[in-house]
Amino acid sequence: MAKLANIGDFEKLMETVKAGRESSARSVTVCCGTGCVASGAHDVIAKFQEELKTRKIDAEISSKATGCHGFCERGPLVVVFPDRIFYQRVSAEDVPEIVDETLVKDKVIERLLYSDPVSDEKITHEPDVQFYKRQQRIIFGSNGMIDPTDMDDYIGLDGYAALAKVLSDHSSDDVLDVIERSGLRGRGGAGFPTSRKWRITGAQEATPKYVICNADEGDPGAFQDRSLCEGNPHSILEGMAIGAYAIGASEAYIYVRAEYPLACKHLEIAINQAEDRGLLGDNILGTNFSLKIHIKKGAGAFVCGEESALIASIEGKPGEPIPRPPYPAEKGLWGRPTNINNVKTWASVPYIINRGADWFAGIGTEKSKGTMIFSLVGKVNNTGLVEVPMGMTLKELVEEIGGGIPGGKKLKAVQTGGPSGGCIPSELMTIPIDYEELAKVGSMMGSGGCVVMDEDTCMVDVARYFLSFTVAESCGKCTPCREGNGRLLDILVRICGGDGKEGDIELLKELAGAITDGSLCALGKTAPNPVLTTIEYFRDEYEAHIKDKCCPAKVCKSLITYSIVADNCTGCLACLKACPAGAVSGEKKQVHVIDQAKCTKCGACYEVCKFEAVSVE
Amino acid sequence: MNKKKNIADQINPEIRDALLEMGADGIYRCYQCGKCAGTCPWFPVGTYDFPIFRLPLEAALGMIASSEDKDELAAEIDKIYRCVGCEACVDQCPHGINIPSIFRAGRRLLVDFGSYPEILKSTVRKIHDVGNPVGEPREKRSDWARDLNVPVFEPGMEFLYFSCCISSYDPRVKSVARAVAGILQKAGISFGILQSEESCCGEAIRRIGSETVYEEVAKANTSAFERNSVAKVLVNSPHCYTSFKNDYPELGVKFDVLHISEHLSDLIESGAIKPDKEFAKKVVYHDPCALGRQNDIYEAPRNVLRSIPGLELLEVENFNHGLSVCCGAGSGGLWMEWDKDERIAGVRVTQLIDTGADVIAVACPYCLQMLEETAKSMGHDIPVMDIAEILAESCL
Amino acid sequence: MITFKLNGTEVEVEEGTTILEAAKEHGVEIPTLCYHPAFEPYQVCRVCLVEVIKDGQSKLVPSCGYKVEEGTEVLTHSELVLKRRRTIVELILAEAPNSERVLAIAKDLGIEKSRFESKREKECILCGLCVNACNDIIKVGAIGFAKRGTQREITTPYGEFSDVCSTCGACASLCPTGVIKVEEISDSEIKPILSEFDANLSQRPCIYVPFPQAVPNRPVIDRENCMYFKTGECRICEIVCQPEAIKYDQDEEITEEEVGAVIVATGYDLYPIERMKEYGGGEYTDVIDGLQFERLLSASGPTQGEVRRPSDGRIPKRVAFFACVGSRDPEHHCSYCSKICCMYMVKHALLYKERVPDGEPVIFSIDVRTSGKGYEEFYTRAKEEAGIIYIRGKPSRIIKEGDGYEVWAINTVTGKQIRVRCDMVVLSTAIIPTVGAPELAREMRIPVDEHGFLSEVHPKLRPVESLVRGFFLAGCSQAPKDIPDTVAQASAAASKVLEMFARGEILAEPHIVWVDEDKCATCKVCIDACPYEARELDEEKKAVVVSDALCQGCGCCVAACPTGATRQKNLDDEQLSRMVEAIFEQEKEHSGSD
Repeated sequence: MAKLANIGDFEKLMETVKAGRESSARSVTVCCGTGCVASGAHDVIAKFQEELKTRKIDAEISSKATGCHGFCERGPLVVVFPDRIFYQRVSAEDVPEIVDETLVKDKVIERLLYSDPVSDEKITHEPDVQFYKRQQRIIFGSNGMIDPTDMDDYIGLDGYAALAKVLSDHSSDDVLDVIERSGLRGRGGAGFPTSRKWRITGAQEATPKYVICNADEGDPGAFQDRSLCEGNPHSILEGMAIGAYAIGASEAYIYVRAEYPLACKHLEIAINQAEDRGLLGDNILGTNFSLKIHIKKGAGAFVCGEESALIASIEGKPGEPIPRPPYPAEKGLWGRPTNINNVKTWASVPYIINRGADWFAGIGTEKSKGTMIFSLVGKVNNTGLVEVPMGMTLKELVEEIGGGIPGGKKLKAVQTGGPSGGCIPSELMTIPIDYEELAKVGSMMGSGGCVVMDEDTCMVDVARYFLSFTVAESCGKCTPCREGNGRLLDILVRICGGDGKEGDIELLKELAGAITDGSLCALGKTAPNPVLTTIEYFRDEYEAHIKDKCCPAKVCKSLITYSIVADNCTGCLACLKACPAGAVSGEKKQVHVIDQAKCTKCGACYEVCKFEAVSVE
Repeated sequence: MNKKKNIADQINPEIRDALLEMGADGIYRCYQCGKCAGTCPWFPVGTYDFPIFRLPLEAALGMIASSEDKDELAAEIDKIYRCVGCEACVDQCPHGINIPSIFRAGRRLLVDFGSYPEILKSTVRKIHDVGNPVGEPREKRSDWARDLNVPVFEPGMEFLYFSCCISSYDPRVKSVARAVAGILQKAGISFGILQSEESCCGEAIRRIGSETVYEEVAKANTSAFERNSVAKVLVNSPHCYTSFKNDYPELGVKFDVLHISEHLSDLIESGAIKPDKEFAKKVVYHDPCALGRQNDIYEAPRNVLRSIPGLELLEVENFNHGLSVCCGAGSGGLWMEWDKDERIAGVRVTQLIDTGADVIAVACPYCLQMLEETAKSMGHDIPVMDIAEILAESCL
Repeated sequence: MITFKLNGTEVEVEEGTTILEAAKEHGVEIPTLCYHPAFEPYQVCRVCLVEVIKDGQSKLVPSCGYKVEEGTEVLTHSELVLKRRRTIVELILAEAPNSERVLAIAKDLGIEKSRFESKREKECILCGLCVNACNDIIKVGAIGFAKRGTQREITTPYGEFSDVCSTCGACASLCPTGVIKVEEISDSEIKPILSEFDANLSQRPCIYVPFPQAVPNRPVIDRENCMYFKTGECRICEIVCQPEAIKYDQDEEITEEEVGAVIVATGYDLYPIERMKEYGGGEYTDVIDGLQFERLLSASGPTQGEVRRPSDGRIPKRVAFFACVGSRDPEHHCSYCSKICCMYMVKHALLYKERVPDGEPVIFSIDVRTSGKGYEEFYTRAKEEAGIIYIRGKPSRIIKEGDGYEVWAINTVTGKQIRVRCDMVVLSTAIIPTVGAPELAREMRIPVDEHGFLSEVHPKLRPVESLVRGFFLAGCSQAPKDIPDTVAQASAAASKVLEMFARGEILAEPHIVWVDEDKCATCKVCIDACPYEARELDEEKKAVVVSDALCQGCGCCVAACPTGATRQKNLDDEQLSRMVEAIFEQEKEHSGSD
């Protein structure tokens, strides 16, 4: 690949690439995001290539592996262009049929279509799927259309045009102004205005300066940063290049966890490609601006997502936060001014430059602009990655995009923001997605986790679960986080175990207060959020655990007993066979009995009983 | 009936003067501190109060063996013959009084009067008659070496190997002499023996008090040494060693004496002897008084033991080197018959066994005989071996 | 300068000052645990949290690391601060329930006991002082943090003994809970720095006041052990010392003074206990000497006056005291009587009995020498009233038996063997001249006796003067002495000096020498011969001159002078022959009269 000597060269290249990709051309894409790969996407794409070759139509009909489409629950996903016929849960065996029927004969295969869980209607085209319909896919939009290892795919969708634009006629102040006007805020959780961060770093006298992309995504259940790194790595690089230009940095790091091997690989390929083309490296597009981007693989500590811990980790020190001030913008990596932004923040930048600040600012609410990507998981029909405009209500997110709660259960709460976020009860589902609004109800935007919980969820257990994660991931440096969160967890374990005491709730609140006010970094400060919000909104559940020694959601094993309802029991032996502990006894066609001493409260009997003869109390 | 004399009458300047003449040393310097008594091997025996600290004072007053009462005298003779000459007290005495020399003076007085234990009389007689305490004929002195091709000493040889009477005649202890000869032969050392020309060194009978017989045997030895132009004598008994080194010079003879442990240690260091067979046992070393305390040879025998592969060398806690406890065989003790529970050797054997050792190592035929017999009589079957025997097992 | 409100009062501090420093400057105490002035604030214990109100918004920040900002309001003891601080201190107290530091902070906050139970095996609060000291101050890095979260711990790499640890002990000395132990970090021999003043019974730091009444009462640096002098790292004292009084380049100074008289009072040392092998001296930790026992009895001593034995700190229930250890032993040690032991043993036994009423002192002595006013009465009272047991006899051995000791001795009065079990033994070792005193004496040309004590001119007639004019003796430099004797002799020496000074001139010996300058060949043989440095060459006169004040009239120079230029006053050849003649004449007269 020849190096692009100047902006003109780049523009020429873009034209060539776009011309080569006629929009009417027929092609097939297979989602090769991690979720789909896990369910066999690699076999599917290989089969497509093989079949097309055998039929000698591989010249007319292209096939490609793309990044994550987001609807992971339904993977592997196949989309046939240009009509965007959407097939889900496709296996390699289905491929010859798709080639013969859809690609060659242009017929839709009914059985591979997605059927709406609410209306039961079969949906043929991808944009018509409810899951996608209500989304506004901007930074995530190209994922399904490009092969992340093919730079031209990105360029064909205006990739690097923003960088070229900035380098041709923007001063760094111009860039800062655009970003400021767009209202972009950090997508890492805290929502600090991006332009202000850039300005502070840019204004520092000390040199060199560094920019860092925080791809140390660590929340359980969240994978949006991963999907972006895997599916559209160039958008991150381009954003970083624009940011580095605005700030005056010529060296950058991407801190990505080593457990994301595909993300690491695609980022590496992308950097090499961009450098080969002269879009990264020395004198980008013939200008004076140079940027070297390094990948730093982290060992997977949640706390390394905290910026000072992340910097320490890059420096080769233990990943532990250091007190701020001074902030990284003043003294960061190697003691130099450093700007750290999240993957999604960086990836938003090219779109803002390309489409303008006003366009971006037009999306969202007064204070929260643009879109937000959520990992929508939990008790919801459509799980996956969704990109929605700020300001959408949680209700819309859960019910319209998520397709509601499975099994006709009731929504109980939504937990946003990763393990340190709060649980928002169903009554508050009407609040819009907005940094301030979420904070007001005790939760946060965080990095975009969104866990939906139905009525079968025990809120005390949920708090215990999230806290067990933060306790395990705490670096242990400061007292409130190490000792305090540890004690919080002890108390929650005790309450869930039926040993709750009068005054525990007050003690939890007192400890949580000390942890929130006293911890050194955000991990500690926010760790009690699940506890505080569950106490706030579901205090009765705590009281039931402590005073009545019962778990209303029937989750906490120590507080429930499984027993056979003699009237309903038909003596079918199903529960007896299902019981892993051998606690169920009884003859065929006779009422069974559960030996409480042996029962491990796994609930297997309850699940298998068709006669409602197993009761949980 | 028992006419006890007034104490004042017992003060006898004549006895005092006689004792002084017979070598009682430092009797006026004693200030009765009693430090000697606690270091005396009779102390740990525990059943016999042996107030040796009073001896210098009694000597100064001439109150030794002065009683005319028969029982009192007998008790006193018994006391005078309790000293085993280990010299632990000499090491401790703040005034450097040589208490054993006072005992020896007292014994000489008793021997002169013929009032000393019968059993010792027989020992003295045997040495006088056949030149050894065992009573075997002179001709048999070199029987131990008969099959070993040990040459008769002739001028020009480097060493005269003077095997002690016990290791020459005693059927058990003979193997020590044989081990020594074997090792020396293997190392290619030039040495010979004097066979029937040798007599007992006389150390024990001198300490028993028989100065005349001592002089007889000593003169017999020195003239035999002179006849054969002996310049260096190698001994395996520390008693021969201390006698040759410290007593014989009084007779105006000049020759060098070397204990076998010193020589073996040198030979091992120079590489002339290579102990290569494993002797994988825990060995506790007992310091013979005549070698250690009296002649400051502590490390040579230990070096010999340390050189043997597999051997783990143990020490008796609190009682090693200069603070070692005597086996009880010195100064005639070998032949004395004390009550079974009044034996110094019993104390020492217990101390040695308490270390957990498999083998007791010694470097003295007296200690070997005394400790072995005592251990047996106490029901222990722990082997007692001379360092030469152990070395022979490892290098021959 | 920055102006801010501290607990409601407007104050001014220099820019860059932390809240903690600012508060201290203005007399406000904020508790701290992980803070140490020598380190960059680590800010982890969070005990020093304070409330900062800025632009109407309040937040809690650690005062140790947070720099004061213009126009802010700082509340160090607001209700919120105290509430949070209490919770945090309670969390810490749970893990270190026995730490005095933590307990004190808790007590100030009104916490008696933590509501939480201890979870960790070790009382470590992970304040990091040890790690920071090792890494940032000593720059060795032998220890560090391992694991994370509640599992976090302080350890060496891989939990194995560190081979880089210099066993300096900085970590252990800073640890607020006493959980850090150097012997768990390094397996190399740890040589504690022992307090000379406490007779090696306690440890002291490298920077210390030599003894409580030191003049001036200022600390000194022990250069042999100081990490800075050894490795070039540390300098923690310099950082901590606010008056900036630490000066590493300060050296010993030698000040020269002209004086008319010198009183030599070099004091004494004790005969080394290690020389008493039969008593396990130097081997058995509970066999100590008299001075060590004196420190054990002292209220300012290592045990604050409680009699506790060095090996395990137990109160000994029977203590044996040995007299004449190394004294009166011409064969092995010192021939002389050390004079003071008999009496101080009485005192020691009585004080021991007073401190440990159920304790039993046993004194082994041979002759109890009580020559002094009231001494015999004191001794009698000890035996009669306090029931101190005296056994006549010098013990032969001390044998370690279990955790006690067995003394082997003979009661020389009864002639019976005795074995006394005891918990501790105090050896009254001999008094010997201070180490180095004989060398000093040689410099001063004062003769010493065979033991190294300085010799007086005449034991009866001139007991405080040395053989060198102008040098006087006092105390144990001359011989073992008790306090009254020492005071008496010192006073006498002072009087002698005053007498000399009062006279204004010195009475010279009648036989001092003079030099016939005409005959002097300036060969200087006499200068070398003179033991009193009374002669020097006068370059102008081209002759040797004699100081009349220094010359003692010994005559060495006269004998040495090859030209006969040196002559002794009143003793020249002619005078001598006249004397001889006179004697012979007398003889004649006597024989004539017979």
